[in-house]
Parts: sequence; structure tokens; C-alpha cells
Amino acid sequence: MISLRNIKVVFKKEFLQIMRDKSVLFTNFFIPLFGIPLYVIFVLEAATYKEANIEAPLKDNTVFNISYQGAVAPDIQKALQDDAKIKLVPLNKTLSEDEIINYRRHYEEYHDLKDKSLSLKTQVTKDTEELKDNNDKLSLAREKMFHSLEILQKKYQDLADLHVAFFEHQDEDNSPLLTTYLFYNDDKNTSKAAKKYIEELLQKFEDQLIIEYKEKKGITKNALNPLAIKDVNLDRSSDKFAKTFGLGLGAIILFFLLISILNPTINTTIGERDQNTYKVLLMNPVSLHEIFIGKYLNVALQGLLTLLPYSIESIVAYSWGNSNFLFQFLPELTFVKLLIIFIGTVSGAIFLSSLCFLVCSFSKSRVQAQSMVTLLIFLLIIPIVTIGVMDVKLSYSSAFLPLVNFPLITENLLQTSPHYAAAFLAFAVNIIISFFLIWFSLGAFTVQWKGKSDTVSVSDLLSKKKRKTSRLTPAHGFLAFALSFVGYVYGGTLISILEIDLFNFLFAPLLFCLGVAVLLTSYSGLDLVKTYQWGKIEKGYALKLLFCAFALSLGFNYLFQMLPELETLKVKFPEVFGSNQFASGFSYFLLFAVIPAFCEEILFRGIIFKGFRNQYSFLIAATLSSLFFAIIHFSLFKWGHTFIGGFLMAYIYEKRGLLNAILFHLLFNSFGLLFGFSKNFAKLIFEGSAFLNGSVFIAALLIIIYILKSDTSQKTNT
Amino acid sequence: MSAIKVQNLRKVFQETVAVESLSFDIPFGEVTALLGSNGAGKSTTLNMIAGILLPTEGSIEFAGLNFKDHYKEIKSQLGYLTSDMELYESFTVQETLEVLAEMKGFSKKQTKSRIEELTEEFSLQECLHKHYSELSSGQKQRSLISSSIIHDPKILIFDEVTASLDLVVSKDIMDYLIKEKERGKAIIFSTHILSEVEYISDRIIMIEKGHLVKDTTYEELIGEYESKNITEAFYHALLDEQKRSQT
Repeated sequence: MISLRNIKVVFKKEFLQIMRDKSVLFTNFFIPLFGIPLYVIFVLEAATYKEANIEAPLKDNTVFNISYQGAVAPDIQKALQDDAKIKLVPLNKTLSEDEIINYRRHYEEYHDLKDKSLSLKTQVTKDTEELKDNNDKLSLAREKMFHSLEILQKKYQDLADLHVAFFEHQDEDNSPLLTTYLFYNDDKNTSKAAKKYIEELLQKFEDQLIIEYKEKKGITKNALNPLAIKDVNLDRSSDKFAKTFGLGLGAIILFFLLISILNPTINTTIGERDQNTYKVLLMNPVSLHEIFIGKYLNVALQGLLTLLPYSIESIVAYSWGNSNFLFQFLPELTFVKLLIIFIGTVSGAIFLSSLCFLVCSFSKSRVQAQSMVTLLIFLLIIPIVTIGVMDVKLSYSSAFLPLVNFPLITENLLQTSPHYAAAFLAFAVNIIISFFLIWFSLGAFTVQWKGKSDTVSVSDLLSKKKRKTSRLTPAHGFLAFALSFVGYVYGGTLISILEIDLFNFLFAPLLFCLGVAVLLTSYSGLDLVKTYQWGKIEKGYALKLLFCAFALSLGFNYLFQMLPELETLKVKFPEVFGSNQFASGFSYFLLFAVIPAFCEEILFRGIIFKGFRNQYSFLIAATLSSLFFAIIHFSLFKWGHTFIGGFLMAYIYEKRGLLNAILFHLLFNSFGLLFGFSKNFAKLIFEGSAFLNGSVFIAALLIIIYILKSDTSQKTNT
Repeated sequence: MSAIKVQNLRKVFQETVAVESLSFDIPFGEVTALLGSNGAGKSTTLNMIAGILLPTEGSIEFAGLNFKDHYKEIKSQLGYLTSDMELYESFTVQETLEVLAEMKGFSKKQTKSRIEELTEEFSLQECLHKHYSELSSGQKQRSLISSSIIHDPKILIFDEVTASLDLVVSKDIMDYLIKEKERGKAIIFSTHILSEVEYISDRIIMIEKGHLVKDTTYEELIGEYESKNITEAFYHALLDEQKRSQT
């Protein structure tokens, strides 16, 4: 019977210990509350983004026609047109109210159509080139579409020497005031020269204007200062610096976040054991479960306290790194969005704490835990930084971890219609996975603190002396997963960076899986044939598998229709791979059915499931191996169906051996291919009815479970 | 009824058999010394009895109760101390004692009273408000003993607790054990310092390479080998066992 009182006492003791640890205080409080914000402020200052120069808020004045203002301002026009070096091309158009509304909408749409900016840029380039004169003439660019000042800044950076904008607004006396903005690039000599020239020109003209205004209006503030000239440096080098740091900040935050949770976790598990204080704890009338829960809750609390400021800083980093106007999204933060941030933070903290506990529970020493931690950080940071810095669109590295809900959350939040369902689904996945991680951690924690015979560790497998084993163990499972994960992440990243056609190399990560499995088995001195327990394929059972594979594939396709977000799961083969020279019916079958079935089953069922099964119950072994199977597919939304499929295949392997698991996998993938190519399938779906579509899936699953459970053959494995 | 009843105890670490088929009883009101050479399996045996290590096979009962069904009840009656145990460095001695008392279900009043008793008993006045990391080795050992018996357990398990202590402190601990024995407690301790065995033990259990060699009294052991002292008797007993195991 677990006593809450005992848990509370352990929690209190752990909390006090952590709060007195200076290194933990530094990583868990100082860094998130002071270190990162100070860093952000420093970089913001270094970015020297001259937004402060513009006094009037842009949002309220999103529409102005740069050239138009110049055209209708006779004074300015006179000043510039008379000069032989300037060619001023005004637009012959008066803005109406409707057009202003239209243009404001264009500005908002611009952010949703980032990829289409290319066509705008082309248009502007064309317009500018028409105006440019090679004889050192200044060019004033003309815009066919009206944009806000901010967008024009981005566009004109490399296209014009100088960009002059006239901005009419009112001063405190409600008198009209014309401010002239000179946008230049401090990094370019031609631009600096152009700015100086215009400033001198306008200064000369201002002197004339002052005399005229005094005569007409008397001595007023405006009369004395008729032209407000402000310059804005568009030099993007510091902005790029800021952007890179902004994206890098996400990686830095992740690094410190992991440290802030791992540090107390190591101290509370391995650390206590290394310091021999664990015996003091074990000598009390407190069960190991109570000790574990008390310690875990403490670590989870540390995670939450650290994650809360980090989640806010991550949002800042994300919006900054994407060059959104910093804090622009704040008015859009509704209660629901805030709730999502909070729930995401809590579930992220629980997940990270659980993961860290798992790592530390399986470690034999502090050094080993720290090494595993370093490896974990390396695995996480490098792909995410690669994505951030190289701007590579890759689902591999950023989607597998619920932790990276932050990019998903922030991306969702910054959109006008965020995918709440997807966010809540991701959080639920966080919690479910965390539950299993905690469960496995407890088993390992017990072994770590109270010892158990026949425990083979990962380090044993990697050592020359202890690598030979008599059978597969959980250590084999973990090592196999870790190696294949690394191969997938980095291989996938490399393929994406090099822009290699995935179709030509899809087999590579799969064969890598197979290589890992075979290598690990033979390195441990195990017989390849006996270890995998191949079983036999029998006609009757094969037909059952055929039906089950069809039902499962059908059920999943119905399930995908329930949430629009899951539509991304439906690989549209002809669209994605249609142009590839090797794409044919046979090659699809080979690449998407045969090779994956063979390679993945040997690894995930043959090694990982079997390794865990040799020490734990079917439920634990199947859950863990299916979890790894789901993670390796690197898509947050694929977890559901890969996990379920993995579980079923584990069951088939348990009952009938590896060949039958391979057969089922092959058949399932084949049906997936057929549905993927089918144009008529869409007609079968219940349009707009999540209930009916979901019911088909549930029914299919129940039928499959019934068929497989009714198989009365002897178990192949024990 | 025996305080501790060990039956066919076995412990395997990967492929190494640390303890094999160990069976003995420890009664209340006696001090039992557990002797053996280095690596004999003494600490492993005591760790299993204390519930720190899980046995591979065998059973351990405490006054008829087993760990599986009466874990907390047994733990509340066990006091355990080893030479490699440490307390929490960031806590003062008083804080540690308070935490441990709370874990054992003491009220604040009971905790305060018990700490006062232990302070008096083990001269903790100087170190009560110091952090564990600031203590001398003697102060550390007294603090450790206090922490292990704060709940006044009926069974004491001490594993080489005097190994690095001076004579004065060691004798104090031995005197304490004698006093506890007279209060009817069951005490089992391991040591390499045979004079301590001579001083306080009523019974001697010798183990070698995980096997039980002798379960006898001090007088019987001396008589068996007609030795002048325990050191000689122990030495002969070990030699006999080594010869026996070779054959």
C-alpha cells in the first residue's frame, strides 16, 4: 500500500536537497530567469534594428504609397524633380478607402503567403530595373502593389540605392506633418552616398520652405520645421546575426532545459547511490515505490519550474528567429492559446522528467548517466540546430519528440487558426508516453538500487570482455534502438541537406536497421537463426493475416479522415515520387512493402521486442518495442498507427514467429500503397463524419484482435 | 522465536555466486559476530538481511515476518549501519535526524525528545548544527549511528562500522552494543577486528566464499582449535575451510 505521507516526506527531503545544490540553482533558476533573458536583451541590442526611429506605429498606417506621396507633395516633387540626377516616377493614382482596406488585407495575407513573395520580388526588381540608370543616377523605386513599410524594407534592401518614403501624419496640434524617411543600407557606399545627396538636397529645400511658411503662416512650430527627415538603416547583416541567434536560442534553451532536468535527476538517482546515502533512505519504512514517486515528483516539479520561463522564451526565440515582428503576436494570445502553452509546458515537463528518469535509472554510474545525457543532447541538439540554421524542412528530427511541441505550439499560435486538436493530441501523447517511461524507469530503478542478477547493461555489450551473452536482453533492445535512431536522424538530415531524391535512397535507412540488428546479434555471439525465432508460414494463418492487414490499413485510412491534420499521413505517392525515373509498381512494392517489412521486423520484433521479452512481460516488451517503432517513423502524427501496428506485430511474433510478423507488415504496407494510389477510395469515406470514420477504424481493430486472439496455436516464443 | 531466521540464502551477481545456501538464526538478547575473509560474502549477507539487496533465492524472516508481506513493519524495527554509509552533505545532523524521524512516523515532539536523548548518548552537541560534510570522522560515525537507531530498533545490523575509527570511539560503540543487548535487542555485526569479537560477541558465524563455515560460540571456537585467542582460532578455522574446499 502506497502511503502519501511517505511520498510527501521523501519529496520534501529531495526538494530541500535540490534547493541547496548550487549547480542546480544555477541551471534551474539563474539561467532561465536571468541568463537567457539577459542574453536575449544583449542580442536584441546587438541587432540594432532601428524600429525605434519610426515614431508612428506602422500598424495604424499600413497603407501609403511611397511614390504617390512624393508625387502629390508639390514641395517635395519640386525639390527632387528639378535635380538632374533624380528620376522620380510617381504613380498616377489616388487611394480610395476601399483600396486602403484592400492593401491592409494584402499586408496580412503576406504573412500567410511567404512562399509567394518571390513573385512580388520579381515584380519589384523589374520595376526598379526599368528606372535604374547606369550613370550613377539614383533610383526611386515604384511599387505596383502597396505594402507596409516593413515589407518594403525587406524587399528593397538589395534593389535600390535609396528608398524614399513620405509619411503624412498629424502632430499634437493636429496639424499635418510630413515626415520623410530615407531607407538606406549602411553597408553600401552607393547607398550612403545617395542618402547624403538627398539629405543635402532636402536641407536646401527646407531652408526655402521655412521662409515661405513664415510668410504664410507666421512663426509656428511647423513653419520652423516643415520637413521631418529621418533615416533608417536597412543594413541586414546585424539582422541576420540576430535571426541566427534567435534560431540558435531555441537550441540553447533546449540544451539548458535538458541540463536543468537531468542534473537533479542524476543527483537524485545515481548521485544518491554513488554517495552511499541511498542506504539511509532504504533503511526506512518507506517502500521503493514511494521513494521513486517522491523523487520523480520532485524532478517533475523542477522540470515545470524551469520549463515555464523557457517556454515563454522559446516563443520569443521562435517569433524572432522567423523574423516576425517581436511580440506582435501578443494581442492574439487568447485564453485558449495561453491554456495550450500551459498544458504543453506541463506535459513537456512530465515527458522530459520521465525520459531523464529512464536514462538515469538504467545507468550504473554517474559517469555513465552523464555520457548517456551527453549523447541524448547531441542527438537532440544537432538535428534541431541543423534545421534551424540551415532552414531545412525536415520532419525527422523535430517531430519525434513531444518536447518540440514548442515549435508546433508557437507555429500554431502565430497562425490565425491554430490546430488546437493537433496540439491537444500531442500533449496526450506526451502524457501516455511519460506513463510508460515512468513504468520502465521503476523497474530499472529497482534493479539499480536493490540489484538483480543477470543484469546486462549497454556498456557490457559494448565492452570486449562482457559482450558475449546467452540470449537477447533489454540492453540489446536499447542499443539497437539508439543506433538505428541515430542512423535515421542523421541519414535523413543528410539526405535532405543534399537534396537527394528520397525515392532513390529510401532503402538506405532500412538496410541500416537490418545491419544494426545483424551486427548486434553476431557481436554478442548469438546465433542469427535461433535468436530470431523465425517460425513457419502456414496457409490458414497467412489468410488470416491477409484479412487483418487489409482491415487495419482500411481502418487507418478512415481514421485519417477524422482530423484534417492527419491528412498529412496519407502519402500521395504519385505527387511525391511520380517524377522519379525509378518509380514503377514493382519498385514501390519493393521500397515501401518488402524492404521495410523485412528490415524493420528483424530489428523491432527480432531484437528489440525479444530482448525486452526475455526479461519482462509481453505487455511491457510489446509496448516498449512499439514505442520505439513509432518514434523511428519520425512523425508526431504517425505515432498512433505505427504504435498500434507495432503492437499487433509483436503479438504475431510472440505467437507465430518472425516470418509471420514480416508477412503481416508486408501485407499492411502493400494495402497502404494501394489505398495511397487509389483515386476511388475517397468516395468511400464518410464525408465530414468523424464518428462514422472513427467507428470503421474501431470496428476493424476489434475484428483484428478477435481473429488474432482466436488463434489457438502454441506460442513460438517463451 | 528468532529475531532473524535465514534459510538457504543465495545471491548471484551475473555469473558470480556471492552467497550460497546460507542458513542461520539470530536470537534476541545476543550479539552475533559475522566473520570471514575479504570477499567472503559478509556485506552481501548483511545487505540482504537489511533489505538493501534482493536475494536470488532463499528466505529471511524477522520474528516470523517476511519482507514481502511486512516490509514497512520490519523496516521500522531494523537499524542498519555500514562503514560506507554517508548522510546528506547539505543537511545538518539535526536536519537529517528530523527527516529520518519523520520518515519513521515520529511526531515533532517525539523527534525532539529522541534527538535530545541521542545527543546525550553520543555527544552530538558539537556537531548537531553542522553540515555532515564539516564533521570529523568520529563525529560522522556518531551521527551515522544516531541516524540508524533513531527509532530505537529491536534488531541492529552493523557492517564493519569501526573499521576506520580510533580505539576510543570503537570502544564506545561496542559498549553501546552491549547495553542494547542487555535491553533484549538482537545484534549482528561484522568486523575484521577480532578483539571486538572477543569483547562483545556471544556467538560467531563464519562464512567463506559465500558458504557457512561455523555457527558457534566464542568459547566453542577457542576450544575446538585449542587456541589462546580468537585470532588464532579464526586463522585455523579459515585454513581448515580452505583445505576442505580444495578437496
